[in-house]
Amino acid sequence: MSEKTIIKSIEKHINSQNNEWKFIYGKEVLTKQNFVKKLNKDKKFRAFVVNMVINLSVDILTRKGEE
Amino acid sequence: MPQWLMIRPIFDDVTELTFDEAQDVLDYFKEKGVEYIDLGADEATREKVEDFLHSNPNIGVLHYDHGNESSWIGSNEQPVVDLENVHLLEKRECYANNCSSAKALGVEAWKIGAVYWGYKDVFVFTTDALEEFKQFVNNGIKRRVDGFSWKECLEKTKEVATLLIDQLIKAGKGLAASCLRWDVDILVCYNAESPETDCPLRKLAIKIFGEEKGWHLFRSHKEKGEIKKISGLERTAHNLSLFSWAKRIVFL
Repeated sequence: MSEKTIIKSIEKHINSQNNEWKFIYGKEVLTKQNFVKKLNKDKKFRAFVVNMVINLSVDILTRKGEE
Repeated sequence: MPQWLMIRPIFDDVTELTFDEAQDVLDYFKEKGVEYIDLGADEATREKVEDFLHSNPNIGVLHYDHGNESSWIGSNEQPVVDLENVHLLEKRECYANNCSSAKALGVEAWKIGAVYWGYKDVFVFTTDALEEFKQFVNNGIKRRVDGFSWKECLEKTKEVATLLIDQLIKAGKGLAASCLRWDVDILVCYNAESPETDCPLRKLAIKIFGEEKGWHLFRSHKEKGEIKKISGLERTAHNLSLFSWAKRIVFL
C-alpha cells in the first residue's frame, strides 16, 4: 500500500468525524481542516501520522491470538 | 501528612484537558485515603513547587501539563522543574503526564535515584476518545496506589492500553487507536527499566561497567539533546572526554 493510499484513507476517516473533532499533537490543537491541511503540507507531520497508522497495523498483525 | 504533590496548571485548551485528567487521579486518591497537595491552575508556580518539594523530601510528585525534553511547564507557561532544579526530584517517585520529559529530565532524575514515569516524545491524542486516553494516562498511578510495584504498573498499563486500542478499533476510531499505540511506545518508567541511549560510547560503557556506573561516566551531547546549543569549544571538549574514556576502556 502506498503512502498516498494511506493518506487518502486517513482523510476519509477524518472527514467522517464530527466538526468538534480535534487532534492534539503536543501543544498543537488541530481541527479537522487544519489536520488535513497539515497532513498535505508538512512532510514531517505526514510521515509521523503514516508511521503511527503502520505501527498499529504491525501491532495487530504480530499479536498472538487468544488460546 | 501528604504523600503526593499534584502540579496541574491551566493556560490553554490542552491544559484544560490535562487538568481534568489530574482531577480523576485526585478523586482516586480521595477514595483510597491517600493524602495530597494540589497546586492547580495559577498556583503551579516554580516558587511554590520548589518550596513544597524542599520542605517535603519524601513525597511523590505528579505533573499534568505541557512538558518538553528538559522541563515541566507550570503557570504562566514557565518551567517549574527543569535541569537547574532537577535535584528536587532526587529519590522521589515522579509521574509526568506531559510531552517528552522522559528524554532528558527523566534520565537526569533517574540518575539521582528517582523513579520516573513519563513519555520520551510528543504525546498525541484525539478528542473522540478522551475517556480512553484518560484511563491510559492515569492507570499507572492508580495501580501504584493499589500497591503494585512500578514494573507491574507499567505492565498493567500496557495491558490496559491493548484493551483500549481494541475497543477504539471496534468503535471505528482507528486514528485514536493509532495515537494510543504511539503513546504506549513512548511510555517509560525508569526504575522498572533503564533509559536507552543513542551514544555508542555510553552503550559500550554500560556493557562494560553496568547500568549504574555506565550512566555516570560522562554526559553525551546527544543526551543533552536540544537542551542548549553546543558551541564548537564544548564539542571539542566533549570529543576529548570521549577519547579519554575510550582510551581508559581500551587499556583496562
